[in-house]
Amino acid sequence: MIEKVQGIVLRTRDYGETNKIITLYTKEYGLISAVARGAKKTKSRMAAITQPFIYGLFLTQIGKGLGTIHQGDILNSMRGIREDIIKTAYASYMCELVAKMVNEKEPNSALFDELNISLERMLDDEPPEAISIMFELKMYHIGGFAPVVHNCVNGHDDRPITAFSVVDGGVVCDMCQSSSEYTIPLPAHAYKVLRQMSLTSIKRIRNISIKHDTLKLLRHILDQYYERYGGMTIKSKRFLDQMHLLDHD
Amino acid sequence: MYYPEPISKLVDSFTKLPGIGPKTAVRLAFFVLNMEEDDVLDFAKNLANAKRELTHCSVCGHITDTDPCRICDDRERDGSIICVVQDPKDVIAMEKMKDYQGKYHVLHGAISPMDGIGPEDINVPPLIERLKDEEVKELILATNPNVEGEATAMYISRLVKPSGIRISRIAHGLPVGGDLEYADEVTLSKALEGRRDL
Repeated sequence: MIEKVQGIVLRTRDYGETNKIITLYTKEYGLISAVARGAKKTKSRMAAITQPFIYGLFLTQIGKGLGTIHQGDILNSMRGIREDIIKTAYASYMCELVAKMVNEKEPNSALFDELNISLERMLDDEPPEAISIMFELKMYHIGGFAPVVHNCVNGHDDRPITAFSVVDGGVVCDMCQSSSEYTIPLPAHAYKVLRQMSLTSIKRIRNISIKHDTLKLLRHILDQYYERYGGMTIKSKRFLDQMHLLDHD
Repeated sequence: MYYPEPISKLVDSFTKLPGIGPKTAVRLAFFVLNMEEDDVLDFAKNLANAKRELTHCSVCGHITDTDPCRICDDRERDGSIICVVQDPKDVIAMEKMKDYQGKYHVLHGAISPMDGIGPEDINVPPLIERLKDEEVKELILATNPNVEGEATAMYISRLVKPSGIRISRIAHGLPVGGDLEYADEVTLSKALEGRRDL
């Protein structure tokens, strides 16, 4: 069955001398893998359309196992991402989260749009770190282990939120903070940002402007949280940490 | 196993090679049986020698049987230009061209965010040391035109730029003998960007 699908290239692997195996996140079929024959050849038209982050229309044979990509048209090359090492690092992280947390052939057009718009926002020079945190929080919902952020995880709705508890799995109020040993203090403005990032789609947010310290705090919280509940190794995270060091050099 | 032990061991050895499955391995093993004894001994000796005698050049990282390699040792080559490539096979490809008279630096890989391969996992630190010691005027970044190659080129460029050394990237565009009509948008746009005066 040959189908025309809209998809984003999440990752590519070499297969034999001249072929590549492409992992695509498609609007119609969700996560699929397909062989692009000859994609490693210099003169192959498949070479360009099988680059990571490309959003395109793919003519793909979809079967039970590995499919085959016959043709492709680029809808957005996302070239600006591949030409910036920081954007490449964050986009790789987002794509790896999708590739690892989503089951094959389970379509989710909302997630597809979220990924596509997040990549487009990176192209528009919105801060990649903030976009990746927003996207990561959405992926936690998909994975079923999203932190509770709308009110105190212990149910104290009328108390002000003052910290994040990794052990409890969400934000906690001033009362819970004093009774728990392992909490990360969360100032009011940082809580507001965390809540908005977790509950609002990237579609509804433009001109993101978040203080560096707030982003750093949120990153720290998510790292601790993922370490406890994530359970999967995200290879591109290691690369991101090295890029972070380069920034400060 | 249906085969005598020497053949099954040979089959096992062939299956360790990339792209060789059990059937091909059996075919190759029987081919070896029909070869002249001298040719077989030569073949075995060449395999062992390739492993024993080849090493990485202490200067550029290229595979070599002498240290430093013949390219690094060649005084007629221009030491002020270094071409950075991902793989020893890329050096061979460049040398076949016969137009380049500078020296090389082999990274033995590329930065790959997807696979978690960072700058410290490839041969970048020796390059930085080399740039401090040698009088280098230009660094040509000839990594592959894909995400990994671009990320590697960007990283090296960010590291080296403050030192004032000229950094250039090999051009991307239409292949010789290609057809404009069938070129994709990304390649065409890169080709247009890299156009030059006639």
